[in-house]
Amino acid sequence: MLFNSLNFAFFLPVIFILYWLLNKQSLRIQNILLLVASYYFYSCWDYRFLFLLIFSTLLDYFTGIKMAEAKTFRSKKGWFWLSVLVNLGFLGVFKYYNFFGQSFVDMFSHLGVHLQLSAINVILPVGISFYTFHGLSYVIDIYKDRIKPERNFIDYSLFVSFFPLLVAGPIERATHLLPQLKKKRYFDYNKAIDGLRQILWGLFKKVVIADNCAEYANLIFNHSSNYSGSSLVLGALLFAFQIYCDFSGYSDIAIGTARLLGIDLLRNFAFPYFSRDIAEFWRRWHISLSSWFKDYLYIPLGGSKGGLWMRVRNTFIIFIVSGFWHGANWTFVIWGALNALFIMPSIIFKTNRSNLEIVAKGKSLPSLRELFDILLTFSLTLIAWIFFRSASVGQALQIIGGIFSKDLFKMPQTSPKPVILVIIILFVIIEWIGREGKYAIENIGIQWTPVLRWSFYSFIIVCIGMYMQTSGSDFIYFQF
Amino acid sequence: MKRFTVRLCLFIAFASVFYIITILIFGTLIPASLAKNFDYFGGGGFTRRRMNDAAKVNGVDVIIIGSSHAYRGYDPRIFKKEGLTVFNLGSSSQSPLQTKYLVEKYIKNLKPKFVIVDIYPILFGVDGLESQIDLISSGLMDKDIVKMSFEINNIRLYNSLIFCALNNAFHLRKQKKLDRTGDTYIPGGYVQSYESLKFKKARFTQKISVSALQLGAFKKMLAELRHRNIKYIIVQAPFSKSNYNSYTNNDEIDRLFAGLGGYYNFNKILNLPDSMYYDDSHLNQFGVNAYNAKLIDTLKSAGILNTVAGFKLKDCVKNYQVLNDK
Repeated sequence: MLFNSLNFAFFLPVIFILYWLLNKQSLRIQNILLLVASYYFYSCWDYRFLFLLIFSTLLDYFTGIKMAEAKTFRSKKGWFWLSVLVNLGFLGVFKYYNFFGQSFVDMFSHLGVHLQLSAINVILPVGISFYTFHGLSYVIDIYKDRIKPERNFIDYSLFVSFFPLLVAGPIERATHLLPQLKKKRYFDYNKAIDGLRQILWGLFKKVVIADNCAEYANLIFNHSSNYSGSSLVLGALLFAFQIYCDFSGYSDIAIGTARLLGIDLLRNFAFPYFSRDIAEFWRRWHISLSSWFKDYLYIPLGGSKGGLWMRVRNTFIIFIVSGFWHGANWTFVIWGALNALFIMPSIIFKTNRSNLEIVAKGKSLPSLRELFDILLTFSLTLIAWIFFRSASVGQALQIIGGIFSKDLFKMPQTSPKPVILVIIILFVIIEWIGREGKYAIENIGIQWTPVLRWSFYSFIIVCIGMYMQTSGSDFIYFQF
Repeated sequence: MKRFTVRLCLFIAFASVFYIITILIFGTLIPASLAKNFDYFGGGGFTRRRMNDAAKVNGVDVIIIGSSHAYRGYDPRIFKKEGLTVFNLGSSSQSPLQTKYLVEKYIKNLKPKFVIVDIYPILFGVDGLESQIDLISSGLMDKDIVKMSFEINNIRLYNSLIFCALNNAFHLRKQKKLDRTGDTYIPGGYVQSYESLKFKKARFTQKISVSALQLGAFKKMLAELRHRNIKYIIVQAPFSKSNYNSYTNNDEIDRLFAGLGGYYNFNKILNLPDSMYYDDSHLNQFGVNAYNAKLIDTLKSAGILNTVAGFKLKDCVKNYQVLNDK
């Protein structure tokens, strides 16, 4: 069930009404409702993988308890590794089996040994990378004695499977979400309204901006050898907007949906394309994943404590692992490595925390220096996105080579309708105006009269109705 | 919670009115090129006029149904020479969903004794959106159209449906003529053109897919004809070689339709030069003259039309039955 489907438009109100009707009953019944709804939501993709989700939940639930009850450290460690290895094992089989198998065969073929790979047609269970990381953070936190294990199976299962975040995050932490699930929720008018507003903005980003950009980005990337340098630049630009609006749109809908149910999820995006350097970009892009890698990989590896070499090594490791997390393809690995490379100057010169606040805070426009930094950072991310989107490293190199050809300054061979380009520009302006909020339209219109404010929201609805891409696609991050 | 519910209901009402007003503005003031999911004009091809005529005709010998291949491919004047009255119920991009609807809607007053079902196989793989908009923008609006629109389920269709419903009620805007230059509407639903446009001689190859929904509608439509004891044949009118040869599974398609009744694929029977085509998909008047003559000959020699002058449907039906029994 997609967030941008009619099914979800029926599903969410039904759950919302039942959920708040049950508020007068016990919290337990309310959580059971959410859990059943979450399992139903998940089984709409493929009910067979529900068993995998339940197995993963059971595994982490019991190993969490066993770790807490272990009388020796050796026993605790044993339970910990059991959970980690089984979780990563599932991820490995479903996501990386064919990749590793093929890479292995390729490696031997270079040595003159020709092996046969019995490739299995593995369907990637939707959301596996996300709920595996949920579970892993939980067991790691217990292992490190940061949290106590959750004894209530319903609450724990809901933490793993809560439908707004189940398939593409934000990747939650037990310390943040579990306490909310254990506490009685009270209907908060402002929170619910805010949730609806965020859902509306997320939907606009997905179906109007991302899907319209996708149409042309796909066309150009899928036939990249037929396009001129300027068209390839346009393709990369459109993909940059597509992936941002697709994933942040999804996150907005997820966070807004959770807020309707009185639950706060972690923020996932903070206007990353207004970043002034790559370090800032990564503090603003897919925040829940970046912070996960920081807390569970970068810091355990030594973080930035061990001097320059250690910082450089650890930075490369987390970016390459992050790339690999996205998919079993060398393009993702190179995308990660490129980002590590781009961030290196600020790591080496220790300027990676120089842009913590949003750009031009309290001002209408950025300074020329800030504008230059934003454009430079955006250009670097654009180069990295080319690898992310390409089917192979060879194609990415062909595209980059094609961009720097003599026809770079010719008119692109294809382009979205002018009206769509105008809407994209309007979108960038709204994002800029609203960049100090949690999402762009959070504070826009708050001081206006109700009629004017409602007209603004209705205008967004009209844009969705009039300009949404009707042959919509899945959210990109569902494949991860 | 009560405050939230009340405010939400008020906002939904406000947004609905805002949306409808915007659609009215799009339909009356804003150029069509600025609207993405809004189409008031449909596919052209004189559908409005054809449907108005269809409602007035009381009884014909033959009806022809199908896409633009139908309304550009069968000239009633040629059939009239054979003593047959013909009405052409073709519409732009007509998919079987709309064919079924049109047959059910007009069969009572057209009372055909024989139906030529023209198929353009690629339309068995579409969702029927374009054709549905074509029908709606031609003024057709009833509960079946609305029901079918919900089945197709596309925002572009809903937007068009809202505007056309309002337009039918309040006559907000006269339909802009979108019919191609050089086209002439001939009573009986036919569109005549003598032009021959330049078209690409090579196309990307593709496989024709047949959706279960469209095939199901097609079979139901044929069952309706059988139920009413109306005889039919399924025909593929010829289209340019470059277009026809771009489909990789033509033989498979032939087998599929041969299993549904008497079937003729004129792409294999007739070899017309490109000058006899209006574009790579449609015949021009020269092509229609040649094709219709061949069609009539083929039907005669197959025993379906056994007399040229003073054609008797009874004989036709009798011979058709014999042919089918064989």
